[in-house]
Amino acid sequence: MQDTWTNSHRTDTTYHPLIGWLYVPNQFKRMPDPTQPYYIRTNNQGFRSNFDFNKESQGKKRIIFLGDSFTAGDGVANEGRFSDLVMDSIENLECYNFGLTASGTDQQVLIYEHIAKQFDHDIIFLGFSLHDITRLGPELTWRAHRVRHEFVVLPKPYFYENAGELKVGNIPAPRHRTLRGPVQNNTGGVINLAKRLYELSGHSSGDVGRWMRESQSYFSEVLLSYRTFSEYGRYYNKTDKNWHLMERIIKRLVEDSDNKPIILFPIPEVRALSSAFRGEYQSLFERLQNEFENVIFLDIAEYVKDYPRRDRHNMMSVSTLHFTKLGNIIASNAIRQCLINNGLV
Amino acid sequence: MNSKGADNKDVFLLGISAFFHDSASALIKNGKIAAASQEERFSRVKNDSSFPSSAINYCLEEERIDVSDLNAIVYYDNPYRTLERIISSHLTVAPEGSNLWKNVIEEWVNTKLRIPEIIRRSLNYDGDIYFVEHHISHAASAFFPSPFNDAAILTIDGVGEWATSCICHGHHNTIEIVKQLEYPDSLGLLYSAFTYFCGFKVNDGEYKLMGLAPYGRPVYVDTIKDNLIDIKDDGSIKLNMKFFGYMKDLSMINASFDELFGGGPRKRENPITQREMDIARSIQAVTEEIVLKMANYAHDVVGSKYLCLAGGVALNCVANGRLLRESKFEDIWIQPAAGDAGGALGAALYLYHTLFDAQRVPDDQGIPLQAGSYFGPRYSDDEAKSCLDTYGFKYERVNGEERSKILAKALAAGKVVGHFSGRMEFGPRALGSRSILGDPRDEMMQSKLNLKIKFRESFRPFAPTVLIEDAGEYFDSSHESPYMLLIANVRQDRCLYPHGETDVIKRVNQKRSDIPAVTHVDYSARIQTIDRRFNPVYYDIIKRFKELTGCSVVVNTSFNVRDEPIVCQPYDAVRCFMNTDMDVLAIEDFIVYKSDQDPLLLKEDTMETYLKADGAESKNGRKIGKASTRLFSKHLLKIKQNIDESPIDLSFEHNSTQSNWRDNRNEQYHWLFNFNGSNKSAEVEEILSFWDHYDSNDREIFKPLLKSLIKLEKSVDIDRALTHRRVSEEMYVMF
Ligand SMILES: [Fe+2]
Repeated sequence: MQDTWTNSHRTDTTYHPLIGWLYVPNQFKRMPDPTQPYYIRTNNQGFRSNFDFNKESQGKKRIIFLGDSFTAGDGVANEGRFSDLVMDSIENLECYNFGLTASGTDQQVLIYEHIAKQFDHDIIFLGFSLHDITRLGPELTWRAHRVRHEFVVLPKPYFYENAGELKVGNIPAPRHRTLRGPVQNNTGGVINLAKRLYELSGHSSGDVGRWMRESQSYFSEVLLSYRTFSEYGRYYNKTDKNWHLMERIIKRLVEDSDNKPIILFPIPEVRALSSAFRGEYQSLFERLQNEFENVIFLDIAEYVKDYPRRDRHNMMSVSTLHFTKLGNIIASNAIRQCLINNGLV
Repeated sequence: MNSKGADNKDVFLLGISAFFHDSASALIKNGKIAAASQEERFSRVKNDSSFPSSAINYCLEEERIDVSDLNAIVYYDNPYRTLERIISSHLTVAPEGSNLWKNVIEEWVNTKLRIPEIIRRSLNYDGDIYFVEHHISHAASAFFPSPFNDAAILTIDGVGEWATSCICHGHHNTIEIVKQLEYPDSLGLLYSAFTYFCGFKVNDGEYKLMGLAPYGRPVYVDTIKDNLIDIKDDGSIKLNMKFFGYMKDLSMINASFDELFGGGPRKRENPITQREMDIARSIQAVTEEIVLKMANYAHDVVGSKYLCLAGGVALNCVANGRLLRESKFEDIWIQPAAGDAGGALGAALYLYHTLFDAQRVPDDQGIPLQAGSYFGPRYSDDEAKSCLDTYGFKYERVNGEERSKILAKALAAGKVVGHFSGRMEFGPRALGSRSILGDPRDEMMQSKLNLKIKFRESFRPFAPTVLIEDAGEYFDSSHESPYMLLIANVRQDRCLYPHGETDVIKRVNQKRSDIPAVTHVDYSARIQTIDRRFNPVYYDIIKRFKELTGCSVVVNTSFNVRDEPIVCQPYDAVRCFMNTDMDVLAIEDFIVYKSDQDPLLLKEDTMETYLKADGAESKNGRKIGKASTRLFSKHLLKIKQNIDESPIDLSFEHNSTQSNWRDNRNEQYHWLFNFNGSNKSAEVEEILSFWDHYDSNDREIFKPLLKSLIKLEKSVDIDRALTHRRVSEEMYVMF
């Protein structure tokens, strides 16, 4: 897809017939985030990694990380991601990050089936934003066309149920992209609303972004979570059609895993992290954990509840809408703890 | 991956030009040019004058560093001195000019008064920030990359701070202004006024005006010289402001100007007539006369054998060709990014040699500093392939010998080839990395390229690239011209002389030589000589073409369509390729044939949709508008009453003996300023400290105005709509 106009001049991704898109291989580029610019690199296999992947693990324990932009590390350099921090903190452990930005759980599972599975591994990790539940269809409406500042609709492979069976559609992925209207002023109504609130709270001018980041106000968190996960509500209902599909897709991964341990790491919105607010989604993933011996549900919201509120608030970046450096560090601590507690390392 | 490029001993300086014309960024590393690019290539907005965020991001990426690795950031102009000139200009014409004033205030409050703040906030940067005088930036961009250790430097543009032209002396690692011509007497503005009058876009169409000149007759030269301008023997000029609108209004010229030429400006949609051609020819002749006189005067006052040239007017290659042949200088060197984009580079080079007292950087194994001027981004084969695969292009992958062979063959067969390879050019010309190529022997090539590929005026000529060792076989000059900045005539034994034909299209299609596609109606050509050391990939294609055809020349035109910036990344190239009649696209190691593709591919990405204006309105426009009216009536008019004499003299008489050059104003004059104190906005005292056209008593009178201006600036937040605005097409950006 084309990058947004504030991003790099180098296009992120290329077409892949089985996955929809993958990163452009062997790329090195600077991401001009206004507060915390960073460099990213992709390897020969087309994933964000500072090294090429080897089929054989050569005596090291290896975790395969699957997931969306949170796992891929949008917002930080490769070595600042939780996967790489876990690797650095545990001896004799390799973490292969197969995370893909803007992907749905369906594509993440397909990456495992078509690509990641061929690489030796001991543990599977699936880290994704709860928002991914909205990405389970045959297309994704993505931010913007680099030049035209319009939304782009990208076709993608997806799963659907047919006579009780899980089928894959859109293989090979269609190439045709359509444009769907202009992107409003880059950030849209939420930021304008934030500015209004900012003025109402007695400020005359200044950096609204910084205020949203630092004020820890109720408003700023609501706005941020609204901006991040407007579809969050789906997890309130276990009979929801989308959740049913998501559950089946995760089960497909479990069935394909050869009984290897699978860590599920759903990432909630900032409000859930910041106020240690318990949503309904936990019970859904607990159900999966109870059903399968090799499934481990790692609840980041539960893990962070003993952290200072300021840290919890600062885990998520206003500008990238992803984990900050701190967010990645805290997530890596949670993962390391989980690996140790479960006797996996 | 963290930035790994920086070594503690390395000196990294980032130059920025923005908010006037084409904005750009340049990074120099230990005095060498590491990266430089115009913002328009990334934003895809032609002549984008926004803060160059993307260009800066690219420059840092090229060296894999972050802003914390920079020793300093340097801006190419001193806005506070510019402010003195602008206020003085308004003072001179007040009470007229209130509309223009409103525009100026809005622009300044949003951008130019707060440049350090914009730099710091856009880049999250807390290091040193410097300003370099505008014409010093131009001069440095021309002198430091030149092969000369001692040279006169001539800079000519619209205006920068007060200066419209400077004669400088460059010696080893120093540059000094010797003489300067001041606003409103400006050759650049005069040329832009005619650009506007002939129906082209100011700040962009100057080049077209030059291209039109050979079709006309110099019948208006006397009209111009008798009414508009007094040209002194030393090349200094005085303009008769009775005919120009730019001090009072958002217009280059006024009704008296129209009257003088028997009618108003050509409307852009109307066809070009003999009148425009004659006017173009006349103003070109006047320009050449002035440039030659200026250069000869520079020769006399500086006393050097060599000349360096920069500033927008230095892009006038016809004048440059005459300088080379007719001036007193033994040799000349011209900065290819001669316009304001090059100011970013010059500012950084000046800072390096001045602040760090660094020695000149010697050639790197025979490669001079500017090399081929390929300082933009490179895209890998993986990136090219990824782009082609994304849209489902059919292609073949070849490299080295095979690649040049295939392309040479395609050219020889009359195909039009889009060529994308290696690092993008810095400067307005495409020099083989982002070029469209054709066979110059083909009589129909000029019309075909203009009408079916570039979608532009059919009179516009094309330039040849010639193997450097063969230049003398085709042209009457074998002087190196790696940046397409010199004109030479096609050798007489290659020319054909058909009889006069008045219709432009027919004249274009008449065969004038054995390389008709690059032979202008006056038998001249704007040549690029190609040296294999600078671009072996491009050189080898032409070499192969010569082996096949015996011809060492190809047509080289920039890879874009009319009004679009030159393509930058692979996606820009494939989009342009599919929306024009190009036959073959070579993008790094991939060859794409139009005939193999689905004709509907990328068709919805038509070019028009890219060209629509940004349309951004200032969010504080109303507030600033009201305030500016107050500033005008309350402050400006009052100052006018209290100041005896404006520093701008509007009197005009023909008196070519009295020079209009001014000496360097102050012995202690410095051209480099540190703005470390100004983390936020400017303070009154600070602004006034740069003013040198008033005595200290008079400067006091401006304090209340400046105070109110700063108060206004502080009351509004940076407006992205204004830091990201496109450049005007009717008015030279001088405020
Ligand atoms: Fe300039």
